[in-house]
Amino acid sequence: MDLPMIFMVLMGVAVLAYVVLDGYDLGVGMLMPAATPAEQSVMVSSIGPFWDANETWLVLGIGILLVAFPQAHGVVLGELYLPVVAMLVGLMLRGVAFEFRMKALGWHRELWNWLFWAGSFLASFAQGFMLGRYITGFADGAGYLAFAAVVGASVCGGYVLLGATWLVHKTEGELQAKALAWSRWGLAWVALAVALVSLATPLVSETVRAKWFDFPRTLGLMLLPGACLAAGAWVWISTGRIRRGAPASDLQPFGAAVAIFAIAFLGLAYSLFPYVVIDRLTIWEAAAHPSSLKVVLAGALAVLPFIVGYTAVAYYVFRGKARGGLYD
Amino acid sequence: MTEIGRQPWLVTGVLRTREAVGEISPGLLGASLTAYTLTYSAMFVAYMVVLTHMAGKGAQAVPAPAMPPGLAPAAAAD
Repeated sequence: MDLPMIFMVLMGVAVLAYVVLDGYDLGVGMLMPAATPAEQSVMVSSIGPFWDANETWLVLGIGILLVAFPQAHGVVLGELYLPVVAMLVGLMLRGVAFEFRMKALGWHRELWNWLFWAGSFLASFAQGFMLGRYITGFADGAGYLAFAAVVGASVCGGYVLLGATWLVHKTEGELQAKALAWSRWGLAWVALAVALVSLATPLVSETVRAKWFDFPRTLGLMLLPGACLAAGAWVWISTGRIRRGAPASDLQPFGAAVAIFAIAFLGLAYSLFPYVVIDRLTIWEAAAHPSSLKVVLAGALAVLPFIVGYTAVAYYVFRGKARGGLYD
Repeated sequence: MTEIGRQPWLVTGVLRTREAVGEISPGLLGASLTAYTLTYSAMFVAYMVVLTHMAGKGAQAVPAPAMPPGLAPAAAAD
């Protein structure tokens, strides 16, 4: 494995970690209006110790894109300028709202709650929109923009699935029952998102089509959609079991939701490889000079164990069910 | 001042500012700058309101919040 390959894997891991981790706390943010004030307090507590650390993975992913694939960074962030700005405004709003809503009373708290929801929604939609633009190779035209908007909406649904299944794990009683119902709504949206992206990528690019429809390799590749369907069924079955009170770990729906995201991500990575900008720029064409990659790799390998370590400690310390009132 | 003095170079002797400028339309740049400015202004106003409110309340003894078991500092025993 050469250096660009190593950085591609690192960037992939960072992006997937970001999507799964910030995905669930953005999802919890989007679910806020569906809950009572007391439940909102518990929901905020369930993500409180984790949400801002989750966002460091986004910084790592974009950072690797900048230092390891500077050409691709220029193309991708240039093309996605508007949705990136929208995402940043959304993330700023929800970050500030998260802190201020705890101190605010009356209609002030309602205002910050609303901004927390709006910021979470804007950031999620913008990320989905970027995915839609990225996989069509930033093609111009109203149809492609509409496609990106639909992918944006379905990524919101995917984050709702992650958020709802996270709440199934972190809450109990009535709120958990609500979260089980939300999980199934989210699952429907994820099915739409995965189907859309899977159909669109081979339609848009000859290269992607050739990679997936090449018998007999196609048969082996069908393991991916098969596994994705199985993970979806696992979300459905495990939420049903928990609702009926049958013995099932409350972490199962979240695990299954993460599996859906990981499998979909693998499929996408297989479609795109070796391109970092589809049909335009391979990872080797976009990579920085090997000497700078070596320096960055040394830095990344020194820092990564700490990130993984403190993340593990945080999740261990704040394990178990969340309670309201910690921040009120 | 250092940025103005550096012109027309972005990296002196290596990269001119003109060569490094992205292909973002002026309208889009204006819109994003406006969005950032509005957001930060609104946040600043909210921040000042909260600070003024908290300062107006004055200092008062706050009872220690009940910590969930396992999180309470050990020093609290004495």
